[in-house]
Amino acid sequence: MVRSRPSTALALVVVSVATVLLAMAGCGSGEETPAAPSPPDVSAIPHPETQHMEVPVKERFDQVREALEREPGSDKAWGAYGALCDSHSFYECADYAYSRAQELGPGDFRWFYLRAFVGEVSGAASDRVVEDYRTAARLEPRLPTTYYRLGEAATRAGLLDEAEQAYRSALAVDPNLVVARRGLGQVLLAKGDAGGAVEELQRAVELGARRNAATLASLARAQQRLGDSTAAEATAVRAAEADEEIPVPDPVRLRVREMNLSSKECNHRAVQLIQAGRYEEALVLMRIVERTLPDRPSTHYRIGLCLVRSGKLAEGLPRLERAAELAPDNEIVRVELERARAELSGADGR
Amino acid sequence: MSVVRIVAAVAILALAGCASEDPNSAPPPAPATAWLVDVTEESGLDFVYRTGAAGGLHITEIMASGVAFLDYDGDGDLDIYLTNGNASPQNPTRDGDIVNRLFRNDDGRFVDATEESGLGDPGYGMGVAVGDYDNDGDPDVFVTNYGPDRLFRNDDGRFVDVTDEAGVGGSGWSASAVWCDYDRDGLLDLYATRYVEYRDTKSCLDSASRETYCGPLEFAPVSDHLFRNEGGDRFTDVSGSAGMSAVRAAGLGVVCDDFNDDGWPDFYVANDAYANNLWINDKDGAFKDHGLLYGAAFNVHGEPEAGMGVVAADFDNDRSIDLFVTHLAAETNTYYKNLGAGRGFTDATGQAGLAASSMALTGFGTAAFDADLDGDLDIVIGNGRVTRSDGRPDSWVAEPWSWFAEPNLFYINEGGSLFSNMGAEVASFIEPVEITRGLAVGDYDGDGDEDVVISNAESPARLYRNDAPRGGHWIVLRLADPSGNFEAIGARVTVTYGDRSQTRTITRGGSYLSARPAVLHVAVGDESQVDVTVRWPDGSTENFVGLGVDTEVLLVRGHGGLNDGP
Repeated sequence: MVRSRPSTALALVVVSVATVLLAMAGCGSGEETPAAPSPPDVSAIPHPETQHMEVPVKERFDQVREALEREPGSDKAWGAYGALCDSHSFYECADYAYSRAQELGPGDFRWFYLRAFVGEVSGAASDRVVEDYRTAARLEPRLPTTYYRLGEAATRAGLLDEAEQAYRSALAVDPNLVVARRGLGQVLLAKGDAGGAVEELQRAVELGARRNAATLASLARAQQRLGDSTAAEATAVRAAEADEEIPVPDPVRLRVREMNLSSKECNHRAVQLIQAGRYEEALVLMRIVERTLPDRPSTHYRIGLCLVRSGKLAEGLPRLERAAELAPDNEIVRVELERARAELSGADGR
Repeated sequence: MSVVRIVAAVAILALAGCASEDPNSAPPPAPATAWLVDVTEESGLDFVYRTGAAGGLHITEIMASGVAFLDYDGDGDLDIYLTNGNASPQNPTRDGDIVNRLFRNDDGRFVDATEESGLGDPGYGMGVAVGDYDNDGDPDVFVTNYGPDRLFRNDDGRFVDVTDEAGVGGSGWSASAVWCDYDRDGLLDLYATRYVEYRDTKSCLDSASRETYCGPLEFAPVSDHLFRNEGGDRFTDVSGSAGMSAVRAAGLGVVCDDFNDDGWPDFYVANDAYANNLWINDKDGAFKDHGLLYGAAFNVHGEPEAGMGVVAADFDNDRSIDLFVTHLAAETNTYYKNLGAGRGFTDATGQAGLAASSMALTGFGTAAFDADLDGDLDIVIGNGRVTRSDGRPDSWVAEPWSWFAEPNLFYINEGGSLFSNMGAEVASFIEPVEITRGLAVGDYDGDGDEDVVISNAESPARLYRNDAPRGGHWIVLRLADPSGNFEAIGARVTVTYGDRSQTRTITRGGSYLSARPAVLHVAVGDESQVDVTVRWPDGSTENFVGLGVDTEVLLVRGHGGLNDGP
């Protein structure tokens, strides 16, 4: 249960790719879509209970459900509802909605890709999960992440030959996809090819996994299997000290995640955006947080910071002052407040 | 197994078919071939683990409890001990009646013997480890708590709290523990996992921003404890010199076995969200964690998982001890196949068919036992979430516990490391949607096969009688080593029948917070005689030949034929 923390730079790349891909997906994948069957029954969906949800989350669920009720024959409406459920870890609901989206839009790779993902974490048969990824890869062969996910799922299903082939396909699209290189090394290790595993895992390290624990741990194990105990022990030491995650450049899953409007998720994404200097976007998210957590010093601080850093000094200063009132011992808030005051007085002086 | 199972399946299908033809008939009875029968009510086992929850979600209240099968009174049948929660540590209003409970087996009927036994520990109970640490022939009991642990010495069925003189009480939050003679001096030592440094001021939200239990990474990790038995109720904390103090994690499950086949006991610890530890015995009192290099620290993707329960056993009958670890939802349970000859392990979960069915569930207690006595070890798993859900409509417990309730799992071993998920035959075990934690196996009715007991949070503990159709003859083996640890904990036993053999280790540990008897139940097919080789805990081996079947045999050291050393 280790959560990924993508680096800011890579997150930006991912967002850019996401934009391109979503636009592309919206234009259709080029396959003929057969005549749509009669619309599925919206009432049959296992809706999450919204009673304990934060207001923005509940409202989003209501909006997306209403859209679905207006267009029950739309694969995109079902897909959107599935993604919303998915983004909040309501996997039963997501699986159901993606399944309907698949039926209504069998030419759109996303519904297969996304159903495979939620199907796996909610215990769907591995045959179905792997088949969904295969279909997604057939419908959208340009996205290396699909092959990567297929490789992971096939490994978990014990289909090691298919996993190896999937990772190789991902690398054929993008030879620098570190996670696929790592996956290839890991599946070779599982197949008993320690030499091949060492080779691929070392390439993954060179490609950017120098401080990634999973890559180094697998490399150490492969070196040990190969009989090189000295190298294995040295790599194991590096693995124990490693602290970087390798983000999976997955524009589709990123888009799903962005549908989560909980204060926890919005705060998390806002911090990433602030670190990337994208204050206007962070401010939008913090305004959502404010609806749920209006009295938190962190809420006022981040809103104030975004305003000040985007040039709205007069508007941002009271927010920082309020944060300082609520958290008088917080040194970071104090420093930022003093800086803002100085900037404002400087601006007034000019 | 397969023929029996096919017949059973046909019978069940036939029953189902008959029922569907007449919708007005009474509900169909449970399948006649039910493998596990819930006998809780008729057995008299009356126990509910009380979390003591009183508002707020504190993870201390969702992690227990443990259960043990043990013959505390030496009358030849298995009794049951369960730990209890009492008041939440966050709400110290105690109920004097909520204590750990011991149930004496009186001809298959369980009678509460807590008061007369002295085992009614009122601490905030977690787990139980059973072992004859004083070599007097009866099982002693170590109880882990959120708070100080307790050691109870068994004096002819009456337990005496010797925690203070033993020096094993400690503080903080302990989880699973196991007795094992790691230094081969003939005295059982004690390994106690410890979870986290809990702070009740911390609160956590799920992905929909609803309050949920915090995971282990929200708290500071801690080190496990290893206590060396010095004899005479005295123990020394050797965690520093043995190496355990150098590692901080969130330990929940532990087993002791010889994982590199060098004749010395090692420890394997299942950590929650941290790398698992494989403490290989250096034979000089120290251990080194070889989890990573032996391939047992991480899954096939090189990732740590949320280790909860663990069992060590030879699932594929290749004479090397494999590992099976239960995990959080969105992770598989993980089967680490031992490659033998000190080559370490490989994650073979997918190839074994154990991945997909476990991804949606959070596994805790688990055990390996040959349910249908067909010659290979099957797997039972008790499940229950720690992260909040919407609550299953088929939950057997009310809100808020329904948010965490899940069905259990039962896998039948199809032979050669391939498992299948069992359904109707074990309905009574997999249909209750509850929060299962502790799980132990043992032959409470003395019929030669092992039964199952589980402990649930805020719902009744359940006892299951094993009525599975049997694949052939069987033998029950109990060992006695008058010159070493009395029950020969750690002995490696190989049973040979015809052209087949099975290898097992004598242990009372494994699972999650739980303890099983130090007895082996081994299926022997059509053979009417078997040969047994015992590698005693000190490394010497001895053969016992021509043993009869369908009975229990006590193998006393020195009464077989001694071999050369290890």
